[in-house]
Amino acid sequence: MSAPACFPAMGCTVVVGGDDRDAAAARELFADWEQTFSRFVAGSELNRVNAAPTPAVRVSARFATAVAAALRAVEETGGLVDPTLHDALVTAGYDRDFDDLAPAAGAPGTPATGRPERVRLVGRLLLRPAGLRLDLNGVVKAMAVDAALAATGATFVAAGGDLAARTPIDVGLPGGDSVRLAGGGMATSGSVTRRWLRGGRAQHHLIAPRTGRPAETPWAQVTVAGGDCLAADVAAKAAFLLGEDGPGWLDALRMPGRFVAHDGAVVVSREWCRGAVPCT
Amino acid sequence: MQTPPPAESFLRKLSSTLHPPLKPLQQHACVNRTVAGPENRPLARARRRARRAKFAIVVGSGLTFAVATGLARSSYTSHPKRRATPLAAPASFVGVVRRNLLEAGAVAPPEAAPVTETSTS
Repeated sequence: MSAPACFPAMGCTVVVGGDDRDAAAARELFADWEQTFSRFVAGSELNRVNAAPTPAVRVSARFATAVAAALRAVEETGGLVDPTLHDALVTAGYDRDFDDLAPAAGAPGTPATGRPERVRLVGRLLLRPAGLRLDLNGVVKAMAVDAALAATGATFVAAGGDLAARTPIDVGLPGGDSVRLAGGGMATSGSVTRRWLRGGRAQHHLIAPRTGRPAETPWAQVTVAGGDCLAADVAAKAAFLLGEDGPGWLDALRMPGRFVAHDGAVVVSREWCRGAVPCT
Repeated sequence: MQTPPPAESFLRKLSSTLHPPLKPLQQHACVNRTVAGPENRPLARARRRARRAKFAIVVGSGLTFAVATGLARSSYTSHPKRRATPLAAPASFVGVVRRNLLEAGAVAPPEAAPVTETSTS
């Protein structure tokens, strides 16, 4: 098997386990998706939708699919994974590409809470109050990973913490461990990588919808294995935001999950314990 | 018994020659036709009703048979009159299945060095 190909996209490094043709196809796909969904690409469809003054906006089929997935995530996670936290992210300081972020002395502004119940999708018609801005990063990167795997002959596609594999593969975990992904997707969410300072206080991108502020949880990182990358990513974010209730929530869903606390302690869900490693 | 006078027997013969005797009543074509006198009108009405009833029964049976045949031909699957369409799950069922976003994956102990890693995003 040839060495995996790598390229930058969506603020991370994308790794494609396949030949050059697979890598080229994946690269083009990620570029298309970034043009559609990035908050930091001028003229992206997301920015046009967010700037539209009317409550009803006709969107592309790809955009509608992402909104539909985001609304399903709201429903399945009880509102924890929320596509209406654009303003909360900007308030916390995430108002430009992460690589361009620099510590700022000013304190974060007044947080904006999520309002996913105000978003409706009818076919390709998006209905939301004018001025309610969306951020679909909670689902888009994972969906792009799944789409790239489906569109190519690659054995796996990984973008930052999000991974989808066609065959069982061995995956390195945060902290040095590894596990064999028997099928589907895997995602890791956490506050370790995307962190910045505002007013001397650490901020990160995982916003608690009810407070509009970066969530305060005991976890540094949460890794979940799902039926596909989207399922894994949504579950990882929700489990992170649930704090101490995260492992129990994954147990109820029978999803394998691995939680790394800020002090380095590792907690795993029941299904992870059954499948992966001897539990101590 | 008195013997008729010869003139009367002659007259009878003459009469039978001039006026052939009538056919017996049972040979006449119209003998079975009942004359519809005032005492036969209810019977005529009854017979008309019976004819109408028979007609209605025959026509109704024919129509019912035709409708039933049409329904059977349109719904009976062993002799399709339209192109067969592939079986597919109802859209509502597909929708329910697809709504289950959080489908579990599977992990196992590692068997080799990792080919990639999942880092925090």
